[in-house]
Amino acid sequence: MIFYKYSGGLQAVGDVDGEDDVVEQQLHTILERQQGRIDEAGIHDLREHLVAFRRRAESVRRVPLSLADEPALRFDPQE
Amino acid sequence: MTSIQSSDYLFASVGQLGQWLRAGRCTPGDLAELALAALRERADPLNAVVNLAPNRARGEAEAAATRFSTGTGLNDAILGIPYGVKDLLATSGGLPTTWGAEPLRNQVFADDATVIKLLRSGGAVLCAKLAMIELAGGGGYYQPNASLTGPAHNPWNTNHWTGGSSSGSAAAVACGALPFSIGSETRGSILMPASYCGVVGVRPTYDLVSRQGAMTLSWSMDKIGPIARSVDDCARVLEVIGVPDSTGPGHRHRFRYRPSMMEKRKIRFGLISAEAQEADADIGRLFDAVIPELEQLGSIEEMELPNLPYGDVARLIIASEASSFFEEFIESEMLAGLRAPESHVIPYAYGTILAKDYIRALRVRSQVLTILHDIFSQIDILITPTTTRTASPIDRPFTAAANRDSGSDLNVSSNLAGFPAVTIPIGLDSKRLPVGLQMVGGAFKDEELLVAAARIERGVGWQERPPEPSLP
Repeated sequence: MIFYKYSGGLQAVGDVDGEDDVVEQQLHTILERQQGRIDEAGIHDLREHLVAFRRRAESVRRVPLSLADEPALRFDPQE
Repeated sequence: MTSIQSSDYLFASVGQLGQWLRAGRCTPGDLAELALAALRERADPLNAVVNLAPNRARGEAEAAATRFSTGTGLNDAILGIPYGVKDLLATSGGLPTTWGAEPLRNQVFADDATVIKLLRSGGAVLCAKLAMIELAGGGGYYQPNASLTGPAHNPWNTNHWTGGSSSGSAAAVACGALPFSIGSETRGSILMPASYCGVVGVRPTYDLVSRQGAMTLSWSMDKIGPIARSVDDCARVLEVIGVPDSTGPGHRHRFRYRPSMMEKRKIRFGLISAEAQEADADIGRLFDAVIPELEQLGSIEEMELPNLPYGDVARLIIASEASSFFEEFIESEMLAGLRAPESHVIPYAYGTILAKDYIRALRVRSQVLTILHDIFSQIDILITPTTTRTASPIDRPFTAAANRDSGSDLNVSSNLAGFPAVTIPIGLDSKRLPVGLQMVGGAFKDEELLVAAARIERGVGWQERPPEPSLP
């Protein structure tokens, strides 16, 4: 499912409840950690990507899993 | 001894060059000099070269010449053959390994990557480290100008991009400067540039080729593979590098290429029709024209992949693993030294992915693996156009139409599952840009896949068409 589009920059399409608060908190933490190394354009870009990754995670969380679906921590394409 | 000329060398196959070497028409040293000149004159203007390796090439050519004179290893198909590698494979001897990134312009390693050691053992002659998207796209990027060497120009039309991230590996082969090169793919990085540049690219089964000494983008998804101008040439190279790796946790499989043993076998093709329908009209027309060739080789069944968020799963896995591998880089001043401005901030977002979401993505990947194993119990090879668009303009950001963000479901799902794939050129679109056919095989069915691809390649007749690159 596509939640965002790219047209000269990622543009969010639609909204997810509570998403804005979480993203702003993540953004705040990153900016504080990077201490002024990110300019205004970068902040705008970063916000869009934080939203994009949240929505990717939401999309993956919607896939039904069974208890048998184990993560392959040592990946082997034959298994 | 009659030495060959530049006009003979350019676009000659690995097999042809080997014949000339064995017949004494040229020496490995002659080929190395021709390759170095062609890289300077043809590949470098395309921004396809990071560093030439003249000293190393001459040394390895001399070693190959000694083997010819003493008659040792003459059955090695790549003995004395020049090649280049994507600049994420470590090289020793002070030859830098930049990972395509300006801040790492002077990065050096003490040892060669295993793939390079294997190629040297086979007698091949390393002539250049080739351009790539910085950090193989690990910074995230929206545009062709995301490389230490600048945007890589497509040899078929220099106003268009080569594709990435193995940009230089595809361009150097497509412009005739090298008979083969080595690239890497995590999600489309061999197949896409090979298709855009009208050459053959092979993404082997995960871990068939050692990753030791290669930059990591994603430990669980990276693959190393050859790019050349024919399937046979790729197979010759894969026979050398697709061997059990004693230095790492890789597989114990050995790639062999025995076309005569499988030439007559009927092949069950699965066509992902939804992806074929999404392609541009020119691509669809060329793809449809290949169908009769496939029907001659066996049967074709239209198929659909289950509706899963393949692109999102891949993004979460790649970003999570990249955020670990590049942690020091991301947290340092080096990040701001990347060429693409967007790459200065995108990696910060990787660090917000929760562990449970990464694990969940891995669990969904297990489902993808099961799905593909089921499909490959019914068919032998899945096919689609390699890309839905031909090479994009070099001076513009990627558009949504270019599908930059997600890639095709077949490409992404098979990358997630670690299954092998090959792209072969099948023609030119109305802008005279190459179009590729993507074929995906079952896990460790690399040999069957390449034998089938070679049969289709002969039917398509691309090899009989002289390349018409537009060089700057």
